[in-house]
Amino acid sequence: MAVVTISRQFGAGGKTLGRMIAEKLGYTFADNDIIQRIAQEANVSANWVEAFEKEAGSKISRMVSSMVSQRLVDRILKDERGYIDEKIYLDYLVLIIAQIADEGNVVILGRGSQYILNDHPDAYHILLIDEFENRVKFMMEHYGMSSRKAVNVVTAEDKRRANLYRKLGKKDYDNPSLYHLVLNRGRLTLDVAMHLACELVYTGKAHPETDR
Amino acid sequence: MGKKVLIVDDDPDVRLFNVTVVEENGYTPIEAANGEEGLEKVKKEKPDLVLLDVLMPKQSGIRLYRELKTSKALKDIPVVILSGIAKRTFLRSQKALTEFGGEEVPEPEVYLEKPVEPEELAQTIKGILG
Repeated sequence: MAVVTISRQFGAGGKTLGRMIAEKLGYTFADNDIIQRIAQEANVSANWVEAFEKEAGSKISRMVSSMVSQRLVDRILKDERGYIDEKIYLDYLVLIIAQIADEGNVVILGRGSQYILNDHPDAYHILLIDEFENRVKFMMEHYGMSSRKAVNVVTAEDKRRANLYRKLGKKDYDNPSLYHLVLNRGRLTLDVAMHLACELVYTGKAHPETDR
Repeated sequence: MGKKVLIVDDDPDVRLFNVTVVEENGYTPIEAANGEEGLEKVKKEKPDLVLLDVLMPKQSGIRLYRELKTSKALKDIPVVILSGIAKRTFLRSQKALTEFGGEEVPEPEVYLEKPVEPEELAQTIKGILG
């Protein structure tokens, strides 16, 4: 009943690796599931949650949050549906990630899951890193982006990631001590990275205190 | 008039069940359908006990619980969580919210996982309110 969390620098291939690990282990890959479940619990559309995630940490999100009160949103929606703001999103995010982890046999992509499940007894935390140039190349090759677009996207996503974590009071998200395994995609193929991650789950102990 | 018990749950059937148990045991029920409404009623009615669901649209029970337990004026109101969510999941969520810059909050007085038998609920309420 293990849980694997994958934190990654954007463009390092985290989503691809997550899917590969899940497939190999016969686990669920929780990415869109998280969006669906937040949407269901907050009683809003999945599109709203998805858009919210994309904008989270951006200037637009901060501006909208400061301009639009919950009561106004409530009135607009005539009390028939829920709404989502940063607090509500975070409340449901931590709850749903904790819930998914307790269900077990799942690979969870990002969203601060390495912090939320920091002391989960069956969780393995993996960090995927790569050089900026390689990540740009990955986006060009796997998502058909032009060089310029890939540079812009990776730069923007790096900034967004930093902003998101800053909001959560976290700066150490790339610190190896948070993780069981740090995989450098500049030195490993996705296939080798997948096998290393699976080997960790097959043979490892998430919390090795008993070995000391 | 008996001591006041605020029931916060988005499911009308669950509220009706809780209201019945509360009334039959001599207490006065007050209802709220979500965390936001719950907080308003806590401030207005000053209940002696809150029965709180976790998963509710708009403001969830997770947030209301944090609002209550971090408020000087409201933190001493006992809270019984009544939820389909496992206790360990709820506690891990609260810990994560603290990790993400929130204040540390104590564990709830009692945590009951749904479904709850009326006798169990009645005993829990009596155990807290006397």
